Amino acid sequence: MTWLHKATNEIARERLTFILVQDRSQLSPAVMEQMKEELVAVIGKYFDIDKTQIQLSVERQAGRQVVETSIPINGLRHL
Amino acid sequence: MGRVIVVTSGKGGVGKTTTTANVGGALTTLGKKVLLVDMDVGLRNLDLVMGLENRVVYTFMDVLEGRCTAEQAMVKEKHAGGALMLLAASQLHNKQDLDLDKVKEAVAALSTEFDYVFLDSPAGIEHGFEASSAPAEQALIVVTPDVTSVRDADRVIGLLENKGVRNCSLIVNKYDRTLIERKKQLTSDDIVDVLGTELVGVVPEDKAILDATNRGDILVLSQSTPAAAAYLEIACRLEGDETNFSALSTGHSLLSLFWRQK
Repeated sequence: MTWLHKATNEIARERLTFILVQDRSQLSPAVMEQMKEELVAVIGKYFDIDKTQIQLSVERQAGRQVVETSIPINGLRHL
Repeated sequence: MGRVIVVTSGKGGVGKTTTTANVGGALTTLGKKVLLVDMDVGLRNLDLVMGLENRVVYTFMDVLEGRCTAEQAMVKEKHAGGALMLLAASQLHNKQDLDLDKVKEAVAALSTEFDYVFLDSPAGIEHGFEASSAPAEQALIVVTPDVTSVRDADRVIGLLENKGVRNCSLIVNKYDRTLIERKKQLTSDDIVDVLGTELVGVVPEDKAILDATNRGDILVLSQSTPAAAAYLEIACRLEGDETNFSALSTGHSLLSLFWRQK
């Protein structure tokens, strides 16, 4: 769905979620991308991962910040 | 020792001062003794919201700098029979003039005489915010359902956590059910999820607030309206009673029905 058809409160939520990761981590989108690539390089050595579906967020849980990544794997690498 | 709570938001104009006055007022209806301290040095407004602007003689700064006692500086709210007191901010000083150690010491001394001390923080994250949060053990974060206010609230919550104020809870203000139904406004669930912080109140958009402020009356002490019910719910929750959020339910809560009949 394009932004034209989306409810604006949904757009607001998505934009907030995105900007707060940057605010909380104090990392620019470029540095964030670089970090993702480095993660891919390390984790990809051990797992066959889906590079297009990597998610990275900085969440607040019980009064502290937590970095969460979600990296879907297609399969194991036979080392 | 009473509880010391900072009311803050980062962003200006979201309703910190109105919230401070009404949550404090609501607590007096539950029999609590409450002190409200205006920390917005140079831009004071809590006196005006409470209708006490002509009664302020000394300010909190005068207390800090030893020109008078706290008893001389405190002004009694008109309807709460001495249970609600104001310490006004100085208009003649800058926020930089607030000495953090002196503020902490003075607030600690005052908290022995009240059940609650609320520090109404100025907007921003500079010295005035620092001075307001330094003595606090708990924070009420006032947030309106828009991206700018939520972003600023996130920043403020992060700063408070770094200072060791981990007991933060959200008051979603100016909540508009019509806009929510049209999917044009962030819901309180969205805000709670995004900020990862618990909710203590949802205050609906209510024109009665404007009327009360125009007159210099505290809404919760003068009228029974949906926003007044919401402030009373916040007071109950601060006291440990888990009531529902009437602004979120389609019907009326028992509390708001009770409140209407008064």
